[in-house]
Amino acid sequence: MSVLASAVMASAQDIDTTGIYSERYDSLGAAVLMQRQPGNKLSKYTQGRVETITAAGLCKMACCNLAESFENSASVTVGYSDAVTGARQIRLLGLSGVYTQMLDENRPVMRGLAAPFGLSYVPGQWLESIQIAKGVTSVINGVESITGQINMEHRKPTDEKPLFVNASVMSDSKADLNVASALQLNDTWSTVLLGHISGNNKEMDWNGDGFMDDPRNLQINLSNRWLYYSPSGMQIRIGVRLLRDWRRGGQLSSLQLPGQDIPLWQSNILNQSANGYVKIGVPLNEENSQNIAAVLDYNYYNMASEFGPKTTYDAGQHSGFANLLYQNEINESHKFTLGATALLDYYLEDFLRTVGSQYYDIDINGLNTSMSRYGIFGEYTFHLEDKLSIIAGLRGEWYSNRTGDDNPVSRFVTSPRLTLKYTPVEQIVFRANAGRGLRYACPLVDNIGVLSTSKTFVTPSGSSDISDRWVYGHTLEDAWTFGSNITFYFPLAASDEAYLSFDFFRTQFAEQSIVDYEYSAIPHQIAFYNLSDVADGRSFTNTYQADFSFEPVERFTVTLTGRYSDARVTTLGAGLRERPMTSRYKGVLNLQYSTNLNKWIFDFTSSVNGPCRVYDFMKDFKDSEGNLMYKDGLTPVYPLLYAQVTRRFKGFDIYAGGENLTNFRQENVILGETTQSPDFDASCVWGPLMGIKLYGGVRITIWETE
Amino acid sequence: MKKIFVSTIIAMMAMVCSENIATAAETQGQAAEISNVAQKKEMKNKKETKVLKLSANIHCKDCAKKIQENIGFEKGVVGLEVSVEERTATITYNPAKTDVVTLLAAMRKIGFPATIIEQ
Repeated sequence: MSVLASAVMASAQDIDTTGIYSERYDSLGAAVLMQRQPGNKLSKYTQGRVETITAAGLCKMACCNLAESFENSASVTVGYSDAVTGARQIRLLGLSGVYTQMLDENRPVMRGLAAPFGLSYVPGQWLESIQIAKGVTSVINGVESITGQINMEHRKPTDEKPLFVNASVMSDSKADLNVASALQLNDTWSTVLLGHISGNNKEMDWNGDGFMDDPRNLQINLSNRWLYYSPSGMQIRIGVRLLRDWRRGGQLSSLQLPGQDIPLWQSNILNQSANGYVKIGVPLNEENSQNIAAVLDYNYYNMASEFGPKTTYDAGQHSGFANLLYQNEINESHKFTLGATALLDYYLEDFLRTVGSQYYDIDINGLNTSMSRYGIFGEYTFHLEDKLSIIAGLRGEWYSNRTGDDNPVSRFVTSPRLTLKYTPVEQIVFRANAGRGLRYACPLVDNIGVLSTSKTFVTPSGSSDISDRWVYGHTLEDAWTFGSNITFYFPLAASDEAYLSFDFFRTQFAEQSIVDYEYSAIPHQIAFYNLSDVADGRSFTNTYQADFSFEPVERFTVTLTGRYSDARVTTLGAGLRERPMTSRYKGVLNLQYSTNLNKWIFDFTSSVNGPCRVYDFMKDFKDSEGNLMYKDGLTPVYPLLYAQVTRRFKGFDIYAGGENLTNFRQENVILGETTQSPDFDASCVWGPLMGIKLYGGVRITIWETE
Repeated sequence: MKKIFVSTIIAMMAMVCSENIATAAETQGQAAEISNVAQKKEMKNKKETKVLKLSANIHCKDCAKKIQENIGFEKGVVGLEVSVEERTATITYNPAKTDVVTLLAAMRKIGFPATIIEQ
């Protein structure tokens, strides 16, 4: 490849699509030393509070998929939706991951049906880095980011790595294979092929409850991304992705005895998805101070599922997204972006469910629902040298929601957002942001765990007609988030820039969809309603966090973070209470040491996970010795340990490690007398489901040579 | 599976030990003549290495990474610093194990033909 092409490709890699679409603050001018890149770091140069999980961070654990990439982070907590499906969910600022906008190189992803299992469908080894932005962010990609935004940067077509292979195996028999091939075809076109196959073929039940600890599954995931970058600065990015994942969880197949009438309670889920997108960026002048960009994205997602013998949920989702932008950087101090946007989600659902009787109490067949938003937005950025920057953004959009043959429910909503960054001296950065976030709720898929129960669904303030319930269910959730952060940078021991950072964020809902496991004195019910149905209803979370990172000696990094969350919500008949199953605090200590030239790398992460309030019906649970399991209605505090050692050679690495080395496991995950009884519930998960897991793997990289 | 894991860990530990043993063997003769810790450190610092500073078309962090991931694992290389700003790679090496010609060839092989600034 020519020198010119190399330069072009490099700049193409540094600026994703257009200047509009990314904020790159890599200090390219700085000397790059042969040092271990920190796993997680707080970016100094970003406008908002952004925590970056680097490529090194993605290699310090098994990180088979995105969900497992957050174990080093106190900001993000990862848990299971239930004990059978393997669906993972994150929590940011003490709230469900559905309030965190997921972006794939600045395209919104994992929406709707794709949300419950989406974290498992991003192979960690496909990624180059992850950015976690807390609080409200830019209005350019929409305002679905209520608690924050997680952006994933994939391996680039411009990577000079014709072949990368990663293979790993875990002690629970899960195997994982990733292949990436980046090829630069000529001076302007390059492509990257990403492949992933993983599976778990054994039914393991270490806790002896008769249920698989992790579902059997087989996932095949393929992606192909193209980049066209002309010397004039024009960029085109095209991508396609195909996914198929089958998984079976629940009771062990060996429990099915010949002639037994009662079928096993198993979940069978087949998820299939196809995605295609185009991003185009065109500079309008030579210095690229003015440019236009367009993003077009289409996604199809299909979920065919059974949850036990009496619940089936089959649904398809078509989503289209378009974003058109114009950016003008008037001078070094003033910049603005204007744009128009449209997004449509179309769902077709079949849902059959019966509990406690021979008749379906939910029988939906071919119900179609469409939810759309379209409008305009603008964002103005002011810079006063390196001291002060202010970003003010505003979106005005029509939100429309239609179910079946009903008339659409539409409204126009404006969403303002403001971000401020002040750097009085180079060693101190102060940030603040505030703004509104909006999203349509999908109560069922947002809370997929409810299907792993035999409980009755009720809508206390809605119509008894199921279609109305669904209209009622797709609430436009509305929240305001305010936050601030101060970070001090200072030399300490071997660090030139150790940092100490403090955050405070508050999210307050004006409207929220509530799924209430504690509604009414009648047991075994789950109620679906809205915050606005509750007299004086309030829902808010306050989150405090401190981060400290330094190098006591060269190549040895210590990172310590702690988070405390106070999450409360008013529920029907119960008043304002602590949000259940939400951990109050989390502390993480990460140690990493590498030998000279990174030939050996040792990573160790420990975390302490604070208590959470259990549901009222769990408060009196006793263990096998007759002791209360949840004293004061709180789960126990538990530690988690992870360790990994990596040996690096020219062109390949081998690694081995262990997860959950304290072997702590939640006891009595499956609730209820039998799978047929109305108190059956496999969704009350607050801790690890699996004990110690050991793993080993290899990464092979072939670099492009002359 | 656990057996495989344990075997891998043992193998890795054995590799760490074998490196240490090799290093120890190299210095055994010298160490025997030195009676105190300070003298040992002095001897270690005097272990002969050479520095080679090269200029190449290193224009981005990915270039730097490519050099780090390849040159850093060349036989005899004991230190490496890459500067995108200066477009230089500074290699510290053991002349008993490699030489300037080999290092220049290694740079050229990964797409960075270089010129010598300092050696």
